[in-house]
Amino acid sequence: MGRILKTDLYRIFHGLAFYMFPAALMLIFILSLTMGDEAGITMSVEGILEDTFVTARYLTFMPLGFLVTYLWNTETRNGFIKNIAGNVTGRHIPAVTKLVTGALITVIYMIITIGFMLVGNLLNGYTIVWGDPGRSIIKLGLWILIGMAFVALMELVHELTHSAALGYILTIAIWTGMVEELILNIVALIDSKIDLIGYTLIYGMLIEDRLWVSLIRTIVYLAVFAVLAVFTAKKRDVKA
Amino acid sequence: MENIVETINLTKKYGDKYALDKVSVHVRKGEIYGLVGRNGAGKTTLMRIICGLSHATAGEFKLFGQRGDRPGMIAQRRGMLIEDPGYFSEFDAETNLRIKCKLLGINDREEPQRLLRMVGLGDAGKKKVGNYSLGMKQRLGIAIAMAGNPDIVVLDEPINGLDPQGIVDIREMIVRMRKEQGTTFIISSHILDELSKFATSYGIINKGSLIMECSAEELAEKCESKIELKTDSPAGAAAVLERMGFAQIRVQEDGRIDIFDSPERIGEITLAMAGNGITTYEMTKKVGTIENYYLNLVEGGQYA
Repeated sequence: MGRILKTDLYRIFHGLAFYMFPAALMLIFILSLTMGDEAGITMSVEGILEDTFVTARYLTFMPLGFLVTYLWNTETRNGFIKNIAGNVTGRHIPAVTKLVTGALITVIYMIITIGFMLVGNLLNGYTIVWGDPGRSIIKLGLWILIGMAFVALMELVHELTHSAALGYILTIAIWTGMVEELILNIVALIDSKIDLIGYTLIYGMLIEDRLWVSLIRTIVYLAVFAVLAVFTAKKRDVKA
Repeated sequence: MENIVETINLTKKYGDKYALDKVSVHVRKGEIYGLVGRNGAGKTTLMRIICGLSHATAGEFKLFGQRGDRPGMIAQRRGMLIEDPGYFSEFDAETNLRIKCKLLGINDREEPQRLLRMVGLGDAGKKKVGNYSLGMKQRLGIAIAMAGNPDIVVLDEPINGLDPQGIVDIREMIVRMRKEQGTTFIISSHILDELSKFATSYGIINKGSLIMECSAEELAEKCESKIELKTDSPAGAAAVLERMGFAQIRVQEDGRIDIFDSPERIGEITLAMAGNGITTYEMTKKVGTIENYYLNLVEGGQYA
């Protein structure tokens, strides 16, 4: 698995797609610097993380979805996946590696996003204070886990459909909230007493007074999507 | 000789349709095994299962004497080019090979260049693979399959898209690898006469079933020339031929007799027919080809 991971990372870092997200973020960052001086405002790290998630929905998780969809469908379309699948000791290994690669990209993208947020706040003249470090760590962990759960869902969709178009559309639909709105509305039509908002990836996870519950639910989502994705990949023929 | 690949009643079903039906092939060490069959016959399905890309519905296969569906580390001893060459268009050839080398854990930085020279792409430079010609892409696909000097290489239609020089280069490369490194090859091709120049054994597949497996020598014997004989008495001529010791004769519906053994006895046949009062209208010696033999085998005898 280590060799596939190294191969994936080599390919990702030598390709252009990985750098498009940081480049877009840099552009937005430069534009935000030109929007004026707001010296005197104090921001806590926790507050910045809060802002990060709002930013991350569009500027981190959406590019993350585009990137993994592009990477996975490219290797399926050009047949390189057969080189991987034909050289491993078990059929589950390529799928597990995809999850690990996706998790690594999630962490890298989150670090870049938070880095830009911190530097941007400082350059705008904000004062940064620590706030509650415990909650900050939980929030950071939650954001990263949400990203990983999303990657696992994208892999499950990829293993089931091998459709790049569906991957891109789903990415947009999830992070603009369309999927959750749709599910909530359908459930409300069936029975208005059922409230699933606490289980939703975007709206539910942000409820302040139950971060731990959100953390646990995200871990469950991640585990379920990951197991289903690996199981699907193991049982199906390699498509190319 | 040791079997590198052995399938036992290998079966693959898609819905109700059998892509492979109880196929048992035997590929021995150092062979160039030509897999022959028309489109949709099941060649690629068989190759995909051998390469660990598809699950068999029933039956089993062995790789290097071990269970093929659980190959363990021996998976890395096989190289493949099946359907698509498996390259990234946005990178140059060397980067593509470096990616494959990383996948195999090969740290030798010279390996990509060695592979490129081997397939005649040593001068390709930094040109992106997306801008390559079809033949260059095919050569790169073969180089990717050969990375790490695998013990067995599975090539699905490897000479598709190659110019005549390319076909010769690839053929010579395969023969050289077999001779120098003992590499075993399983190769499918539609160009049977080309395949017959280097294959050492054959498996002929039709409609998902293996209809024949033989060595190149055996196939050459089967493809031998034949004599076509037309007389005023097919039954009488057949009886004369049988008395003369000809065992492989076939009387066709139009009365023509095909004589497959001992075509050098053409003069003797002429005298025998005349001696038995049979008038010979026409006698022709025809040179057999693997293509005609294959077509006769799968179509049922209408190709001369």
